[in-house]
Formats: sequence, structure tokens, C-alpha cells
Amino acid sequence: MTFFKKPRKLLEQKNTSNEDKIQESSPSSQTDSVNTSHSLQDANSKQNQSIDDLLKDIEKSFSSSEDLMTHWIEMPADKSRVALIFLNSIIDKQKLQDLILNPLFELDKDIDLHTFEKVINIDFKQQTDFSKIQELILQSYTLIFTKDTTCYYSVFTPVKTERDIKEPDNEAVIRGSHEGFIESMSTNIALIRKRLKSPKLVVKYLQVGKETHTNVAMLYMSDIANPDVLHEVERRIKAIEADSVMTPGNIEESIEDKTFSLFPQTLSTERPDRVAANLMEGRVALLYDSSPTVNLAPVNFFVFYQTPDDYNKRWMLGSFYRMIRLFSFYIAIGLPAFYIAIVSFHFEVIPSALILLMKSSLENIPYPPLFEALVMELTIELIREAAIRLPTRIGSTIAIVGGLVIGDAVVKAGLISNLMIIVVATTAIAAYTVPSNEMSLAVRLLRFPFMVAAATFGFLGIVFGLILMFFHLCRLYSFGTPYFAPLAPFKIGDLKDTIIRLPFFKMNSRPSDITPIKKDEDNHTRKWDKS
Amino acid sequence: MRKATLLSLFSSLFLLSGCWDQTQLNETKLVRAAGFDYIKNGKIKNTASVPQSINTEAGGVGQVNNQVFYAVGNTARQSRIKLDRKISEQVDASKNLIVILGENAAEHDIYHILDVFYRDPKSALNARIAVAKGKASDVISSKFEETETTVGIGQYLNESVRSAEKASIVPTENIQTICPVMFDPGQDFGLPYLVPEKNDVSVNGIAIFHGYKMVGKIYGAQGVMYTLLTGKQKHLSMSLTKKITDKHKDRILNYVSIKVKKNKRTFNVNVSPDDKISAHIKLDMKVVITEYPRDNLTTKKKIQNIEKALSKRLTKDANTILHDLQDMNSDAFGVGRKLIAFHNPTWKKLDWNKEYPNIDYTASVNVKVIGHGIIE
Repeated sequence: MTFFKKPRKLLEQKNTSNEDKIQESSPSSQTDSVNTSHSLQDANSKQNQSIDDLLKDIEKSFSSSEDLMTHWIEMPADKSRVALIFLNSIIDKQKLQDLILNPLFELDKDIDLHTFEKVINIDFKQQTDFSKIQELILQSYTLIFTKDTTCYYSVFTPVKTERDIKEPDNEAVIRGSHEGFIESMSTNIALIRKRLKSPKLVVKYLQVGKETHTNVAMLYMSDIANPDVLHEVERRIKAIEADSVMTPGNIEESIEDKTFSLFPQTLSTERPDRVAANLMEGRVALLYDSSPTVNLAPVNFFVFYQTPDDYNKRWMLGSFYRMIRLFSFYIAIGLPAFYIAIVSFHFEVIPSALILLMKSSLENIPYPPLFEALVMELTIELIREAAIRLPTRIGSTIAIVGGLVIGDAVVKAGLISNLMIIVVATTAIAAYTVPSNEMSLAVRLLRFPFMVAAATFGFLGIVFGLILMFFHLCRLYSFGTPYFAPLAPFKIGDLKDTIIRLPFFKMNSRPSDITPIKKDEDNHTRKWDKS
Repeated sequence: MRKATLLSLFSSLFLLSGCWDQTQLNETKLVRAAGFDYIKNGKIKNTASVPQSINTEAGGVGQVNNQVFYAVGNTARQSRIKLDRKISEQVDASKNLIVILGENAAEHDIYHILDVFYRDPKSALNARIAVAKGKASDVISSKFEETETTVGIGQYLNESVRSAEKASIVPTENIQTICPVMFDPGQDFGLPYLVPEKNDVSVNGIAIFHGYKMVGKIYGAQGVMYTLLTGKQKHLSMSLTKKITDKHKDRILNYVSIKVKKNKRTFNVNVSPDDKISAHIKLDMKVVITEYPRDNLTTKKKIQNIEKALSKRLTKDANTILHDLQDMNSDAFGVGRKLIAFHNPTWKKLDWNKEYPNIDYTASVNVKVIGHGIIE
């Protein structure tokens, strides 16, 4: 391949006359083409027509869209003309300059049409299929037509539309990496490979969606992940038969074990470090085209309560906050229900010193506690939903109006007791401590059945509700692995990174619920201590 | 299909009425102090104090309006049902703090009144129980100075008894703790004895029971000795002021105040071969001198003198109590229980009610001073 040192100036200055010509000619060609009904499909059969005719056909097929540009270059060697055609809006002009024009002019007189392939970089391809012209142009290729009308050349010159790599807003951490996935699959894979520099990391591309052709990449560690699980994930993805698969949610819903469950069965994350850590435990990561969300499978319930932050704290603090988070699960699903049960069935459990306080705050509330709780919980959900949609500048206003004004006024008006406000606020906060958004949503919805159960049967209702919930959790599977592991089935060894987080040198085996083929994990980080 | 049938059957359950219903906190009246008296024709008069907090703008507990209701019935339950008819909302006794028995009620069988508490699963078994001088209704319905500012008469009486318990003037008892003792033939119990005065109630002593009936009282400071004799381990504010000498003209100089830091009881019941029963309680006390106006506790000898005088004085007090108890025929410290446990053949032979007043029942107290405050 030839190496080019000098960059060339932009083409436009040299070929202004040509360009003018095109612009002049384009309106005329438009009028010409009104009666002629060429379609590009015909172009293939007439592949021996002249360049000008071909270009006219192309223009027509794009309904003379004004961002379709044609550039003419005159070859210095034989004075033959070469046409570049592309969609102005989706190609990178700098790339066009660097990849095509500069090399062409660098070669200057030596250039021959058939030396093109030597000249131009790896994205350069000779094409002979004239029916693909339209498709290629639409996929941000620049096409080059020469006087040799049996073939043409294509160069991939996409405009870069990726955003920067930023920390995901919904999964921020205090310490640790602040990188997050973006909408480009190759960048995302690069971010993971950057963390797992191992030849054992395997990428497997799959395609779903008959029309959308959405690319899905399956990543796993070949020496850790269980082939049965891999096979199962692949089988399920391949079984998807749909015209369009637009969002990760579509795929998630298609491959999860039980769609009629509140609990998410794959872990969605936008953090490369979280994905890398889970790959090392033997999970499979699914990356999608133009989506920053990565799904991890198989998962268990406790994975949703882990966050990369845990591993950057001292292990005792990590364990403490892990336990707080798990405790918040109970608060989020049970506190309003518990309160309802107490004030409408079992107020004898309220401590003596507190009873008059509670009674006086409830004394003049006209509604039953269930109604009171439902109104407040729905108000909170309303505020939350509004806060997502609102631009950030108004967001804080809504927080004040929603939180303070409604909260205060509702108590002063005597509609809701101030204890209920405390309960609802605590519950709302508890639901947001879950590091995973899906689990947080599941937990928020779960509290409503519990509230109804508490209002009908008191503590008994809550107990029945919990029994049903644990039934469901124990019966749930994620790609053939138990969802509620390591509690059901109980594995004491696997508790070390679920309810608590032990120091790293204690974690010398991978969680067994994912059934990794390499069980041992080398974490002997404190060998210096033993000598 | 099967699933749909099951689901529809299951969901129809929600239309059925349950076997229990809500008892909303804001639709109940909480009884916080209950009093029981017998009136002339043998009926029971139930007095209940229902504090009603006056709602303030900011919420929370503001002033408390103390409502007192009466009802008369043939039994305790009936009187409570009648009470319910007089009160606007549903009456609930599950947060009751204290049960007051009038003196005449206590002298009858108290189980007849307490039965309703033991039978109801929702009743407050940790409520304190006390005997009032005169009528319980007087104690509950009087307007005491302190109840204006605290949260109701129930709270006030409860706190009074509790502070007395802390000071070891009365034994710590509640409805539940007296229950097994009440049924035990080998043991009796004592309850706080309240005396209503003009503006307040004073916990004035201990009402001594035998079986289900009140048989007498122990007054004032003797209560501390009684509590010590029950073997209560220690309590920070268990203090006594005792006269240990008559030598000084200045009355104040004859006294010493101590605080009991540690109290160890050794309780021996012996049966001689000819079935004579003797019981002996030995108390080893470690005390701190909290007041000694004569001062100069510099030498060991002086302290030993005080120890000796105190031991002598307290032994005398203890023996007085034991004699009183024997006179009342109340086996409050459980000599009978020991006999049942260790000398069962003897126990079976005798009629304890007749035997107990005649047994050889003595006490000795050994005081050791382990501290004298921050001055000597």
C-alpha cells in the first residue's frame, strides 16, 4: 500500500467549475426526468450505460433529494472523468478528503483506474452489483464511478454521531471508573476488552429482526461460562422471529424465563466495570446495536443489590451498605403495609408512650388508612413520573411543589396524617436505594398488593403476601439457574458476596448458582502476609 | 380453562366477608387506667379514664382532655360492655397502663375481676396493678395537679408506681406476673398501695395478699425492706435512711442514709425430724453511705461501727416484717414453695394456712460499707 505524507487541499477549490456544472445541470435533469420512468433496478441490466446516464438514474431514484451530491474529478493521466456520489448529510467530509481525494491527487499522474485498490484503504471495495447502489449510499458509503462501467467502487465514510463516553446518570458511583456504555456496539465491546485483556473473552454476533437487522453481540469468558447456559441464551435469541426488534427491552422480554413476573430476570447496566466483573463470574453479556444498555444473564436476586461501589469501600462498610440496601427492600415493599396493619388492626403493638401521639395525629383523618396510603403513594409516583419528563430546570420546582407544598398542605388540610407522610416518604427513599432501575420499579409496584393485603387481613395478610412472594422467588429461574440463590437453594459459601461482602482474599470461588465451569477464582491477594 | 376457573373461584373469595374486621385506631377510645370497686349490692363498678388529646395545628400531642366514665355491672366484662355504650367510639383496653383495685375489691377475691384480663388475648397483661385506699373510682376521677400537664391519669399513676418500683418501695409486678403466684399455694404477693391525697397520689406502701385476697399492708420505708427480702438483686436508687443511735441531742446526727449497691439473699428452709419447720433469710448487702451528717468517716473502726449498728437495725426491721407477714398469714417470700420443692412429703402432710403463722421464721442482715461518697 502506498503511504501518503502530504495532505491535499480540498477538492472544491480545484473543481469549482465542475460543481457549478452539476448545480446548473441538476434542475434541467429534473425536468428531463419527469417523463422518463427509469428505476434503479433497470440500471443493473443497463450496466453498460454511460456514467452520466447512471448518475441521472441514481438522482432520480433519490427523488432528486438535495443532499445527494455528485463530484467530478478529472484524472490527470488520461483526462478521464471520475464521479463521486454520496449523501451529503450522512458522510464525513474530512474522511472523504483523507481517504479518497488526497490519495488520488498524491498519486497524480501515475494513477490508473485499476490501481485504485492499491491506493485506497481497507474500507475500499470494488463493487459490481449495481442493484446495491441505493442501499450503499444510504449506509453512508461514497461511491466512485469511472468510465469503466462494469464496476464501481465504494468507500465507507460514515459521519461520526457517537456521543462521548460519560458516566451513566442512573448508575453513578462515588469511587471507581466513571465510564459508561454509549450507543455504539464496537465502542462498548472495546470498553469491555479494555478491562478484560484476555484471549478467553469471546464475542459472538447474532442478528435479530427481519426488517431491522438488529445486531446483538454475545460476550462471555470461554473458560468460565457454562456452555449449557451459553447454548440456552443463543438458542433463545435465535428463536426470535420478529419484523422489528428495536429496543433491548424487546430482546429481554423475548428471552427471559417468565414474562409474567414482576422481577427482572436479566440485569441491565450501562457500566463496563459491572459487565466485566459479571463476565468473570461466568455470566453472559448481551450488547445491542445503538443501545447503551447491556443485559447480563443468568442473574439471581442479589445481583441487583450489588454495586461497583461496594468493592471500592472497605469490606465492612461495603457489607454494611449492602445490608442497608437489602433492608430497604423490606421497607420499600412492606412499610406502608405494616403501618396500615398497625393502625387498623393491631394498635396494641404500638409502644405505650407512642400511642397517644399516633392517635392524636390520626384522630381527624376522614379516610381509612388504605385510602390514605394509596393516595399518597400514587402522588409520589405521579411526582416521580413528572420529574422524569420535565426539563431539569423545572425539575427542582416540581420537587418543591410536589414534595413540600403538597406534603405540607395535605397535612394541614387534615386529609392525610403526618405519620402517613413520614411512612410514604421513607418508602419512596427506600425504593430508590436499589442500584438497579428495574428492580426498583418492581419493588415500587409490589407494595400496592401488600397494602391491600394488610388492609384486609392485617399482619396475617402481610405474612401471606410475603409467603406468596417468596414462593414466586424460589420458583423463578433465570436461564436454568435458580433466581433466589444462594438462599434457595441455600449455599452458605455463596453468601460471601450477597448479603455481606467479604474481603477479596476470602472470595476464592465463583458463585455456584451460575454453574461456572471454572469454579475456583484466584484471589490470593495477601500472600505476602503469610510468610 | 382449569386455571381460569380456579382464578375466578379464588377472586370470588374477595367478595366474602371476613371473620374479623378492622379496628381503626382513630375510631377507638383507649382506656389507659381502669378501676374496679364493689358497690353495696355486690355489683362491680368499673371506672375508666380515656384521655382525648386536643388536636393542635401542628399535630403531635398537645393538651390532653381527661374523660372519666363509670359503668356498673354484675361482672367486670358486663360493666365494660355497659361502659362501651356510654362512650362514643369503641372502647379498647389493649393499651391499658394500670388497673386500680379499690380496697374493698381487693379484700374480696381479685381473680373474679382479673379473669376478664387473662381471657382476652388483646388485653394488656403488662399493665401495672395497684390497690387504692378507699375507692378506685376516687383515685381515677380526681383531678391531680400533675395530670394537667402529663398525658392523662393513666400515665400519671403508671409513672408514680414505676418510680416507686425504681426506688424499691414496692415490688415490680404486673397483671401477668402475679397470675402464677396467685394460683400457687406456696407463695403470695404484694402490690403497690396508693393513697390519694389532696393534689396527688402517693405510693404509700405495699398491699399484702394471701391467695386471691388482700390481707394487710406494709407502710412506708418498711417497703424497701420488704423488697430487699424478696431477693431483688440490686437497684441504683434503693436507699434507706436509718436511725443508728440515740446518743446525740441533734436529731439529725442520729441518722445515716445508705444506698444498696448489692443485695444477696440466702434463703434456707429446714424441716427438723419432728416436722418442725424453720425458715431463715440471710441478706448480705453492700452499701454506699450517701449521707452521714456527723461526718469524719476516716477510720475503719468508725465504719465498722456503722456497719454493726446498721446490721442490727436492719435485722430488727426484717424480723418485724416477717412477723407481720406471719400475722397476716401471707407467705410473700415463698417458704411454702421451698417446702413443695425440697420437702414435699412434709408439705403434703400439713395444712399450710394453719402452719405458716407458727413456723420459726427469722432474718439476719449483714451490711458491708463499700463506699462513702466523695468525701470522708
